[in-house]
Amino acid sequence: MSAVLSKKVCLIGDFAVGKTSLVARFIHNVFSDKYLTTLGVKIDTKTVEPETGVSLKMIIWDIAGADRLSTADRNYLRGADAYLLVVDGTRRDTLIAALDLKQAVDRMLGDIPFVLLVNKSDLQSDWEITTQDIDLLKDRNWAVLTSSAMQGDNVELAFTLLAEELTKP
Amino acid sequence: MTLPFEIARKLRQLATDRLRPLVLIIDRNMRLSAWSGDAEFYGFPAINVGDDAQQTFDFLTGVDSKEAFDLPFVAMPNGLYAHVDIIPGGQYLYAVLMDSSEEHARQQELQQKANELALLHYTQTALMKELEKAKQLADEASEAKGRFIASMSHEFRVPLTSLLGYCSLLRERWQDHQQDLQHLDAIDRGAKHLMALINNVLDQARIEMDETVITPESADLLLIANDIRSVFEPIAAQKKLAFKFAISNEFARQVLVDDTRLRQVLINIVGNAFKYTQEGSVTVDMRWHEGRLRVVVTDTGPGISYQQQGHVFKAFKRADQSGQSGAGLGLSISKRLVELMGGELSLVSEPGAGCAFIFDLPAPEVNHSADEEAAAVIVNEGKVAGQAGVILLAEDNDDIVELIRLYLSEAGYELLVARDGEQATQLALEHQPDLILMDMNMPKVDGFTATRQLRDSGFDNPIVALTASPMDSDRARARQAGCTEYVLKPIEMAQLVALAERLTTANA
Ligand SMILES: Nc1nc2c(ncn2[C@@H]2O[C@H](COP(=O)(O)OP(=O)(O)O)[C@@H](O)[C@H]2O)c(=O)[nH]1
Ligand SMILES: [Mg+2]
Repeated sequence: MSAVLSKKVCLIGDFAVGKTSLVARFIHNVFSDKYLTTLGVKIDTKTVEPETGVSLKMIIWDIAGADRLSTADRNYLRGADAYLLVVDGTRRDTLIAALDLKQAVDRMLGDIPFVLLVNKSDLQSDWEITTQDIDLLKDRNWAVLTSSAMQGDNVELAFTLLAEELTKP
Repeated sequence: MTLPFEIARKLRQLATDRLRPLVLIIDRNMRLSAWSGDAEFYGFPAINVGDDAQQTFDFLTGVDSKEAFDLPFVAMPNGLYAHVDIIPGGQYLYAVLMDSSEEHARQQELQQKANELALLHYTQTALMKELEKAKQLADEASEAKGRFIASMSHEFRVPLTSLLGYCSLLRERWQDHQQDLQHLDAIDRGAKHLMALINNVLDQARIEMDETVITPESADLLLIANDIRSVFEPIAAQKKLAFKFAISNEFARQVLVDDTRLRQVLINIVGNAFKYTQEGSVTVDMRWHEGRLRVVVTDTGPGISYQQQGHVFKAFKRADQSGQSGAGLGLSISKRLVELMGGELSLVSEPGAGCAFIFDLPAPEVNHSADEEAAAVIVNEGKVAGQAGVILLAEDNDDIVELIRLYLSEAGYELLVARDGEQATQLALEHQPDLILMDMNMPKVDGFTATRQLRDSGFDNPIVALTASPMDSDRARARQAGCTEYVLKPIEMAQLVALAERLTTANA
């Protein structure tokens, strides 16, 4: 078998922000509004061909969400190459949780590529997170996107951005 | 001790059955070098020695072989969950998979409930916040409405004050002009009616704003009863209705009650009876017994059906749309006022059988001192201008100034007049009047500020706040500023003279 480049990508964020839904949209192009709590980890793979021309097998770890990292979470995160940090635009708390989680991940894994997704953009009228908040995050030179797992907006793009980052020569 | 072979075999069998262990042995190049157990059970049907372990078993991505760790719940290709132990051992790396599907299901269910609850709580809190906000907005709007009504009523009361005042002045002067007096009475009635309507609107606004409106003071119950009787006698005569007015033998004179509010309730209820009764009679029965006043007002009007009885006490609703005048507030306010005075107002009626309004409220007797009685006697004759004292009137409405000047100079006072608060302070400090009558709502410097300035400069003769604003907050502000008393417009001129006499003699 030819050695395809494969990388471990984790989804990190508080519960019910849409991590599982983003993966389902990306891999299977489906969405369900039923909430089924993730416990443990579900691993999916998808091979992508980003602009960089190198094809990449993304091994996507959808981990149970919480506002802090447990020992089990740390084990699931071992050896991650990149991550999607997910926030629910309708719950301001989840942004605070994401910032805490990012610090913990940075300490554990060092400076690895990530994209911050402010999800549920289809519910923008109910958002507690403002464009001002998002601008402040962008000011830190972070890759920040608003997304909707429901409508598919920016889901593909988020994973592609990570893939490009991971296949840079 | 070492377990007997049979037992050890049994236990191994049990563990194998329950945990379905699959042991993977992986070499340094991450190739599968051997395995033990049922790989197919976890959804790996075709594995071979030499396979790239990380390609086949995606939970091995990123694993280095330095330390042991475990992954409690990893979803397998066929949907089962496995507990995965990674154990480095010299040349090889071992991965041990055990079925954790049941435990996963149990914990997943618990976690699901906890998360759903947390989400619900979050939504609820957000909703509560929204509600709070909406409520605050509504409160603000209702308060703004109240303020608007209050200030509008204020505007109306000022001209009415002079209208009523001049009516009574002219009545005194025109003793001999029968015809003119009749016209004057018509004006007077109209103005009083208007004032009563405005007072009702204003009270409704105050009740909605939760302003307390009751101030019980020593009041003459018999005087109130007689006044009510004389207000309605001409109306009874005009409508050709019999008017029976009964007072119980036992009847305290001085009682602790809000004089104005009691009169207002009586006028509303008796007035209502006259309004709706076209023939027959209106009866007022007042009884005082053991500190309580009980009033029954009966009429022979059309009566009110049981269904409509619930509506008559609601603001802006009337039992019928008979084209009668009135804002439909009188009964609702009366009920509220009686309740605020600690009593109850009820209605007994049947269509065709008239109405009986009954109320009952505390009116404890007060034993008034001889002093008070003496002070209440108004000596109003043989006064020389300036002899009784000097009064400073701070008021910007010319008509009211003239009216007050007439009455006070007749009572022997010298009157100084200031048109605004600034002038008032200046004149007061210069002339040290015995009493200041201070309008609170004046141009430049208002009465509150002027009073405070005077008190700060050591002026300590009485200052009476004159105002058309019945808001309790204004009353409190006036007290705080240093006002001795608070008089609500329209001012009865005789009352004003009595007040001046009381305050100037007390001061002398
Ligand atoms: N409206 C909307 N709902 C979403 C979106 N993404 C996820 N959800 C819903 O949010 C809930 C939680 O999603 P899930 O993917 O399980 O969140 P996770 O706990 O982060 O994995 C589910 O009810 C989803 O249907 C989105 O983009 N828009
Ligand atoms: Mg999930």
